Amino acid sequence: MPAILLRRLAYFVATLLVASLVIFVVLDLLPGNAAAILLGTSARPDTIAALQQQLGLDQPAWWRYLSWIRGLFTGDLGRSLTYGVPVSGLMAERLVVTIPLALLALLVAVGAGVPMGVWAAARWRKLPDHAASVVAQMGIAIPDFWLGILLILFFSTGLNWFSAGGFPGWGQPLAALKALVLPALALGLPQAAILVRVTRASVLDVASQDFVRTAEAKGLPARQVLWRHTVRNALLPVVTIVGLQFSFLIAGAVLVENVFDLPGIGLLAYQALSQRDLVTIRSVTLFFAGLVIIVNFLVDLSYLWLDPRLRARG
Amino acid sequence: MFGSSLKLRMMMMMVSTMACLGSAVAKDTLTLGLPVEPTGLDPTISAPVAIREVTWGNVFEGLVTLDEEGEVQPLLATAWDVSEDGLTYTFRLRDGVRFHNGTPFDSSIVKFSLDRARAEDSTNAQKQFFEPIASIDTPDPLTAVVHLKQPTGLFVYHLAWGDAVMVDPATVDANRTEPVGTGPFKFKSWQRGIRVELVRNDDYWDAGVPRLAAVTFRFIDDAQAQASALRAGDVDGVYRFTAPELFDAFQKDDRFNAVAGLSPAKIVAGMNNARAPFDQPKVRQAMMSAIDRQAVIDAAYSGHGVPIGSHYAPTDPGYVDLTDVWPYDPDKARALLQEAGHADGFKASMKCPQMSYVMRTCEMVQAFLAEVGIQLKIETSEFPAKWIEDVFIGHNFEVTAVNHAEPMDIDIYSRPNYYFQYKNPQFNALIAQAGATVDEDERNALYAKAQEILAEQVPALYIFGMPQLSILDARLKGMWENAPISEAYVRDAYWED
Repeated sequence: MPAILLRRLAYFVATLLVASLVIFVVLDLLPGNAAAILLGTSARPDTIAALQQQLGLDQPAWWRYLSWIRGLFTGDLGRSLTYGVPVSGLMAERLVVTIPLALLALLVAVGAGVPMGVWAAARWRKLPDHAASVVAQMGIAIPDFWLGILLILFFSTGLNWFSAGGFPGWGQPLAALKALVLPALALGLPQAAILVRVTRASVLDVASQDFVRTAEAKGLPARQVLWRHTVRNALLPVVTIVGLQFSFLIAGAVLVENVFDLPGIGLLAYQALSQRDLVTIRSVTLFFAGLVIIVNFLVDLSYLWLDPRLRARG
Repeated sequence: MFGSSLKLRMMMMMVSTMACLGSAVAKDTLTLGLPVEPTGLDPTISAPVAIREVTWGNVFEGLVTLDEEGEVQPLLATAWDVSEDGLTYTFRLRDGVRFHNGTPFDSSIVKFSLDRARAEDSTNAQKQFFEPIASIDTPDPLTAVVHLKQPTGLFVYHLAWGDAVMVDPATVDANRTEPVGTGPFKFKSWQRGIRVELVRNDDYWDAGVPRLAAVTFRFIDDAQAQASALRAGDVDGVYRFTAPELFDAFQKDDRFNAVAGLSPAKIVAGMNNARAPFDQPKVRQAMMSAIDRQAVIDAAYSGHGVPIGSHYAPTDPGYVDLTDVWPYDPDKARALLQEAGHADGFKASMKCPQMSYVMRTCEMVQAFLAEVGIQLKIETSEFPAKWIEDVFIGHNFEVTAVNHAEPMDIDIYSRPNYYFQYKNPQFNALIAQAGATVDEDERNALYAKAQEILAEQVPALYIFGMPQLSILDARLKGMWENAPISEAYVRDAYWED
């Protein structure tokens, strides 16, 4: 195991280094510069040049790249060009919103999607199966941000049970949690719909295999055949999808964050990109890349747990 | 089915733990929604309008200020004299003013603030306002004497801008994140991406002001989210509401006071005057005559907005309505095109920022020009980054459209390398003369002439002045209807009992 982990770590660092280079080059090639944006349409060229110098944008590209990489190792990500505050703090402020939101949404997705998928498979071609198909189809067809708008119309402006958006901060834990409920539903339910279909298909697939028939022939109760033999084996593709979904929920929540006016990392990435705050956007993008790699690693680990055969081989 | 029962359970759990907030005791706080979060809170180092919205007149103050009509009024200077030759301004300063950190405000502060803005390495977005200054004397703590290199007509007017506010030398490096000014409100906190909180400055020089104990600016980018926040009561109002199509519904709602005021922002479709066929005045005049401005306003901003005939906003001092110089007249447009040798029209490209109101303006302009045979191909240009690089700096465009948000910026047409590429020595001379005229009436007469030249020559298509849409709780008083300098001024706001 340690050998695997070590190899994994080396792979992780190497991938991030390659990713960092790609990110840096692509961002550097984007048209537009932060100084001109900050100074607006009345500024003269000499003022823009002075600000560029102040922001360090006049340094050669290789020097800026190396100082970024050096900063990554020392934990200093530099200062945001637009906000003027350390990027690490800026990202931390956003992640304390985004990570709990993604976890809540994942809870919704898994909690609703997997049982419903199993249920649909267990009642294959019966009413629950058809019902689940229809619901899942709708869930996949409805975009998350639009679901968010509907939730706001119904629960906030209609019933007045929730704020229409915004985030009070974790200083008020209950209010903060409450602010995440509707966005988590908006994000989680469409993902749940995907999980319903994946789970159902996977369970049906496993259920047609010989060992399941053997278990049934042994005279095991149907419930035990379903949960111990079929579902457990059917979870491998589901876990893969859940892993992908978690990365999406962190990095791809920007539309839902916008609808609910939540200061998440997706919104930070979007704002930083439109302001050409390259110092911020490059670290945020690298964080996304690192996240995908880590989640994939965790998914691989979960295979070992789910499938003893892999453990024996590993 | 499972999903909805889970939803229900979570909802019930939340409702049972919900605390009852927002009781009805005499209210002295204000939560105001704004569409754009500022990137910093120091208006003297960068341009974005959002910085002024939070800080102008609320946290920072200048020697003078503007009133709701855009007229200059005393603020930290109680009075000023201008010498006969227009070269020496003597400001008498308000006594007993202190910054929020206790630093007294005196003539040394005036000298420091203005010298900083005009310094070699200054990154003040309006550095040109301060360049006429030759030197500043401080004969005593309450007198500041500013000597100019040449008479400068709008010198005092420009001192009312956010770029000219008074700053404490000790806090200039920190103002960006923790602003310290002399204003009625003190900075309390900034949760990035969410809100800026201000609290009453109990030592404010004007006794009895402000009446509110605290003000929170909440940043809500999405127009739908602004409307939802208003309806759910999350905010007491939204200043600079960005969903004109939802505005009428709020106007009919008694709980709200929905006002369409005036702002300095102008939607202008600039042309590259250095490129054919836009180098021919007749072509530009034809294009202007082909456009029904009111129809554009109806489509792009739900009918809110003021048609303009020149690069001048109704809130700017000396405004003249020149929309009748080239009124909507497609036949006239065709005739002008024929005279210019383009009887069959021509093809061109139009670079448009992605904001919906600009895009809709572009599409309307495109439709009206197609009526007279001019085929415009619309290309999206990401604003601000790509547009600034491509159009503003690179001049790589034929037609464009953008929101010019600065007040009193007609002088941009006289700048040698501005993106319109308009060259008119007569206009330049007029702007220079107006700039050097200290007498207000005389100056306004010159600016009127400058407006007439632009209206006649049409270096850019003048479409409409953006409204200042605000939707406020009906009990909230003391907020401005107009926004002469794009501010969100809460100094005089209060709740009606």
